[in-house]
Parts: sequence; C-alpha cells; structure tokens
Amino acid sequence: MVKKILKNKQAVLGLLMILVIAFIAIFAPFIAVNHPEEIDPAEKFAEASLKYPLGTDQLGRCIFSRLIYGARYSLGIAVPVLFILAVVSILTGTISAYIGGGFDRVFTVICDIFMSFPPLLVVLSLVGALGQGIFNIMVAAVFSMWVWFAKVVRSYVLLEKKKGYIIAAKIAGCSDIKIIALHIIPNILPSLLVYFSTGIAGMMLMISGFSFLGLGIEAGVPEWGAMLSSGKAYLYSRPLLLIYPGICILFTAAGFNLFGEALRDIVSPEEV
Amino acid sequence: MDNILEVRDLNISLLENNSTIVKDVSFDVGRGKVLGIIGESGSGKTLTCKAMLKLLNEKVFGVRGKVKLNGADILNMDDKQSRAFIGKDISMIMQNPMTAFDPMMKVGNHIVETLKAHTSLSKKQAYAVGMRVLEKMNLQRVAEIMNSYPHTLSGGMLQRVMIAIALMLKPRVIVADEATTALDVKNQAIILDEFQKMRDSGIGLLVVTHDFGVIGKVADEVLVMKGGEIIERGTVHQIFYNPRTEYTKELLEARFLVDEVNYA
Amino acid sequence: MLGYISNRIMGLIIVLIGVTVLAFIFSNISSVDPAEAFARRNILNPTPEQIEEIREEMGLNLPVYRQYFNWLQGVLRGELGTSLLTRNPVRVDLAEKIPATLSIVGLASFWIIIITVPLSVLSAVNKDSFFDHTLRIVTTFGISIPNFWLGFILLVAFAIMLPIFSVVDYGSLKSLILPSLTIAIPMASSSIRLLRATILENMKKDFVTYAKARGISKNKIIWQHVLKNSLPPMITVFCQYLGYMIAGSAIVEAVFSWPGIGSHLVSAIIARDLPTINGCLLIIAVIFVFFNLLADILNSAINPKMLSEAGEV
Repeated sequence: MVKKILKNKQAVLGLLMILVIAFIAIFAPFIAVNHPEEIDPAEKFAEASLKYPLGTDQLGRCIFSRLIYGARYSLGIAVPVLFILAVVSILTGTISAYIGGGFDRVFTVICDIFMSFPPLLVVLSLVGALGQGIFNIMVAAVFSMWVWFAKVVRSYVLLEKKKGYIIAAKIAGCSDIKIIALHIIPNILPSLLVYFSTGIAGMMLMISGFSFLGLGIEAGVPEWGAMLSSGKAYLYSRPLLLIYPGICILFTAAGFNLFGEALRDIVSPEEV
Repeated sequence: MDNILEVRDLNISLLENNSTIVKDVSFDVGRGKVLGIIGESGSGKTLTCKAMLKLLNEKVFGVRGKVKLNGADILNMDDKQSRAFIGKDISMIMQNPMTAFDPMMKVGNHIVETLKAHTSLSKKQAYAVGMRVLEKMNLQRVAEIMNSYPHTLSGGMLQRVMIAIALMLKPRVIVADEATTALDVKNQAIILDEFQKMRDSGIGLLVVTHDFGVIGKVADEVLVMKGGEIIERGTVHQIFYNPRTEYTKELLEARFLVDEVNYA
Repeated sequence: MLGYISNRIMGLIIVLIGVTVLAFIFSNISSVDPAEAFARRNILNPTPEQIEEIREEMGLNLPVYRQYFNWLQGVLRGELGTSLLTRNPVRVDLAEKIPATLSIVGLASFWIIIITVPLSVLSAVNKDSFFDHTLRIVTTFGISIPNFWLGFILLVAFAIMLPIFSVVDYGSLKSLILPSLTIAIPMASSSIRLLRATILENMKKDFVTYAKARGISKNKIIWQHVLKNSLPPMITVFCQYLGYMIAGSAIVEAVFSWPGIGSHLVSAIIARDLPTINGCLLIIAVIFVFFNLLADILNSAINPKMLSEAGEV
C-alpha cells in the first residue's frame, strides 16, 4: 500500500502539503521570527519588512509568526479530535453491528436522532452550553460527529460480517473478540482510513468556522479562523489581513483532501 | 454468395498496454443460417460480439478489422451512420435480461424508444406496434407488461421482450450472447424455439454460448474460441463427432460429464 | 406508496421526540445559570431573592423533566417561550428570521443544481479529458475553501473592486447573489464529485450497453437513462445539504451581516438566551428531518424499485 501511495502523484502532493504543515507546526518556535502574541503599538499595519516578513496586524503583531503558530492550532485540534472520533466510532459501530438484533436497532434509532441535527448545529449548541475554549470545542466536535462516523463503521462491519470467511471463522470456533479484532477491523480499516482522512479537512474547516464566529477560541489566539475574524473589520482597508490566514486554511484542507481522495482511488480503484 | 454478415480480421486490443486480446477473427453468417461460437469465459467470444455492434468503450479497447452487413462496413463508419444499422439491421439479445433494461424506465418505453430511434413513427403508433410485437411472442396481458417496470417481470419474460425488441425492426442478423444462460430449462426451451423461427424467416443468427447443448440444438456451423483466437471451425456434426483439437475434445467431455451428473 | 409514507412518518415521530429531548438537553447542559444571567441583564445588582423569583417565574426551579414537559406542551401549542434577549415571543423572532435564511438557501440550491448537473455530465462523458482534470482541481479547491473566507473574497472582488453586486441594500435579489454563491460553491463542488462518480458507475451498467445495442443515441443514453439513474443518491445528499446550508448559514450570515436564523442563533448562544436557542435548534432540526423525509418520498416516486422493496418490508 505504501508503494502504491508513493506512485500516486496526487497522494504524494497531498502528503507533502500535510508534511509541510506538520513541520511548521512542530518547529514553529524556530521558524517564527517574532513572538506571535507580542504587541508593538508603534508598528500597526506595518508593511512587509525584514523584521516583519508579512507586515503587522491591527495591534502591531507579526502576521508571519502568527500564521506559523496557527498551524499548531489547526493540526493540534483536528488530529486529536479525529483520533478520538475514530476510537469511539469504531468501538460503537463494530459492537452494534456485530451484536445486531434489538441492540443494533436501538443504536440505529439513537444515530437517527443525532443525525437529525446537522453537526454544525450540535457544535453550536454545545459550545453555547459548555462555554468557550479549545477543549470544549473539541468535545463538541467529537460529540457532533461520532454518530456519522459510527454509522459508516457499522455499515462496513455489516457488509464484512456476511462474508464467508467470518462465518468460517465462527464455525472454526474463533471467539467473538478475536473475530472482531483480528478479522473484521483489519479488513475494514483501509476503507475507514479513507473516510477519516477525507473527514479531517471538513473538520478543520468547521473548527476554523467556529473561531471565525467568535465561538470556541479566545480572541487574540493566533488561530487562522480567529485571525480572519479579527481582520474582518479591516476588510476594505487591509484585505491582506484576511487573505493570508484564508490561504493557510485552504492549503491545509486541500492537502488533506488531495491525500484522502488519492487514498480512496488506491483502496477502491475505479474499474474500467 | 448469400452472406449477410462478414467479419474479417477482427482484432481487439487493450489500449492501456497494447496487448491483443482477440486476434484475427473472421467468419460469415448466411441468410437463414445459425453460427455458433463456443468457448469458456475469457475466450473472447463476448468481446467479439460487443465489438461487432460497436459496444466497446473506445477509450479502453482498440478495434480493427471489418464488420460487413450486406456489404456495408459498419465498424469503420462514423457513429452517426452506423447507429442507423445497429439495433435495426443487426440487433442483439443480451446475456442477463434482469440487468439489461433500465430499472427506471417502463418496459413499453424501451420499445417505443427503440422504434423511434429507427423509424418516424409517432409515440402512439410505436406503442401500438410494441403491443403487437409482444403479442407475437405469445406473451399474455401485454398492456400490463408494457406498463411495468423491468424488476417486476421475470427473467424469462424479459428475455422474450428482448427478443421481441430484437425482431421488431426486421433485422438481417441477430447476435445472441449467452441468451439462455440465465434462464431455467423451460424458458431455455422457449428461447431455442424462437431461434428456430428466426432462422426459418431468413434471419442470420450468431449464437454465442459455452453450452454445447444449445449449439447442438440450433447451430449449423460452429467456431471454437480459446484465448482470443478461433482454434477450430466446422459443421456441428464435425465438431461433435470428429473434433480435431484437444481443447474441443476436453470441452465436449466436460459437457457430457456434467450431463451424466445431472441425469444420475 | 401511502403505506410506505405512513411507515416513514411513524419513524419520523420517534425521531422528532428524540430531537426535542436532545435539543432540550443541549441547551440545558451549562455551567451558567440562566436565571442569574437573565437577572443580571435586566436588573442592576440583583439580590438572591430577585434571582429566585425570576427562577420560579421562568419555571427553572422545577425538576428538569418537568421543565421539559412544560416546554414540550408549549411546543405542541406552537408556543416557544419568550426571548430573553429581544423580549419578543421566540415564535415571532423566528418567523421574521427564517424567510431571510430560506431565501439565501433557496437561491443557493438553484446555483447548486444548475452548476452541478451540466458540469458533472460533461466531465463524466469526457472522462480524463483536460476539462475533467481541470474540474477536478477546481472542485478540490471548492471543497477545501473555508466558506467564510470565500465570502470575503467574493465581497472584495465583486462588491468593492468591481461593484456589480450590491451587498448593502438587504432584501433585493442582487444582494442575495453573493451570499448564496458563497454557500453554493463548496456544496456544488462536492456534489459535482459525487454525481460524476455516480454517472461513471452507471455508464458501466448493462442497460447502457443494451441501449447502445438498440441504436439509441449517445445523448439520449446519457440524459434519459444514465442521468435519471444517477439521481436518487443525489436527491438524498442534496436534501441533506439543504439542512447543512440552513445550519451553516450562521457563518455566511456573519460575513454578509444577513439577519437570518443562523446569526440569530449565534447571538442567542453568546447571550445564553435559552428559549431562543431551544427554538432555533428545534426548528432547524425539524427542517432537516423534513428534508430527509422529502428525499425519501422523491426517491420512491422516481425510483419504482425502491418503492416495491420498501413495500415488502
């Protein structure tokens, strides 16, 4: 599989873009030329210079350094959320589909109820209830999206369960846990990987949307969505304040989308 | 010569890697004659049929050679011209009647659509013609069939509808690709009966199958295909009683073995 | 067909009950005391007694399940309570905001349909052509672009640099164009991908081969057979999009200062205006559920197979 990924141009491009962002996030303190929250009242809206490679914002903070640190928030929120989502949805989806019967039916009804709310709405109301904060927005994101993921997992497991080898394993006396852990999950993992990797871009867009609305992330934090939000007052005079963070979000989301879609082509190739 | 279909040096290749998958296939079908093509799956017989009616994806397959219908080479015409022949002078009965019809279109509209593509009939007239051709196939309650969606009819019924569609424009040649495979024994007998009638009316018939039983019942001549090539040809009698290649012998033996098991 | 719809409606009622419970839970799990919040907003330095009074008046002293039933009774009568922020009945506020959002969403749906169908067909028919590759790149951007940012870009480009579309005079059709495009472009990008893939899948089906064998023209095959068979999954997804668009309107409304239900909900959340939050959640969820039902009904109307399969259950 790794070989196939390296052969696929789109996958390599997406992966490179993700790696660039990951690299920036990890080594942000070394790349940034200034502290992202340091205010220089004398240098408001400064032009690009050696000291401020992309100029400064309305408070005289270094835009370049803020963008660099923004990568930390973008990945630092999306990746853990995705990880938790994966664990929760694989557990619940697999168990529900595997046990089946009344348990599965109740689970489906619960899913249907949750899915009657667009995820954005659930996050909105949860953030409203729990209050601001990065942790709360992560909780809200997991809470709003786990059913969507779990339902996909469930449908994959249902398909897999019907296959001959699972029945054979049962007849051969394999325990349920063994069947799930050794047979079902490894077999559906590639498809899930595709689903999760395309989901991550959507999640990053959603989270940046929240900080744009002023929900979730405190003002002043160098998160791209929040930077856009605070820059919107200067839309007419300083459009660059809006353009830079937008490009960063676009770049990161496009990286994940490109990679995820190439992955999908690799896992389930289109037949001719 | 009384040949209504002449296929010459038909070659099919995969464009992707330029490999030839059907090689130098040539044969004739005469008026009122039945030519059988037999071979295992993967022998290239279905590809040959599809190539003749220009059904293969041009971006995937490269097709060379000549397919002459009454002297006109439909393979090398442009699509607009050849479309006037395909479905009218040369028509096809497909392998799986259950999937050949558009699931979201009523059976009657398939008939009307086909008639309208080749004639200047109005919709109303075409519908009336549709009823008549279904009646000719000994189908009951044709109005109901015309108004049904394909999935509500049985495979045998749909196969007869497909034959009615193939016959209604008075074709010269009909290509039947595994037309009996998906059917039960009773429906198979009905279809084979229809083949006899077609032949009696002077239509040239190309019957593609992996089943020697079908060949034995209807064909005049037989081609045996393997790996994209014709490896043996002759009359039904020759092939059945005096096969020259090992491959044909094996195919025949396998067939009798199956029969013995069935009759045991 | 009627049996099928009544079955669906039964399922819907269960889901709707769940929706009210969930909407109620969502808006009640909070560390903030709404009575206190209300008191602080309206009375300068409220005494604990005053806060208790307000709590009782608002029914917030009752056990949670009683509060829920009281609220539900109101909902069934069409009463959603009084907004703590505007002091209007929530129902009145919503009735005022919903049309604004629906007009954006309606126009956006129009864009999505007229962009998606022809582009998907063209790119599927000319698979791997220059056009197909370009469209793939464009739609990758489309699904990766944050829509609030897209809104700003459109705003800068068309309202400031080339002042074609007025964004100021709220209410005119012209002022709807930019916000609706902002919502439509990402949605259209993902639906183009889906429809293209579905069309390509259907083009491989037997019924296409058979239609060719009958001498049907390419155009007819694509538009009458393939496209029609590709619609059911699109209808399902599109009706879901409608729900997403209404919920997602919050972001676009913030960009264009549009007085719709999304921005109304956001300001209610910031102000902890519980009755309004409840009302908004409920109404959006109901719209969402309704569109899902609509998708099922539409699909069963155009797809005879689905109907007979559902009937057998």
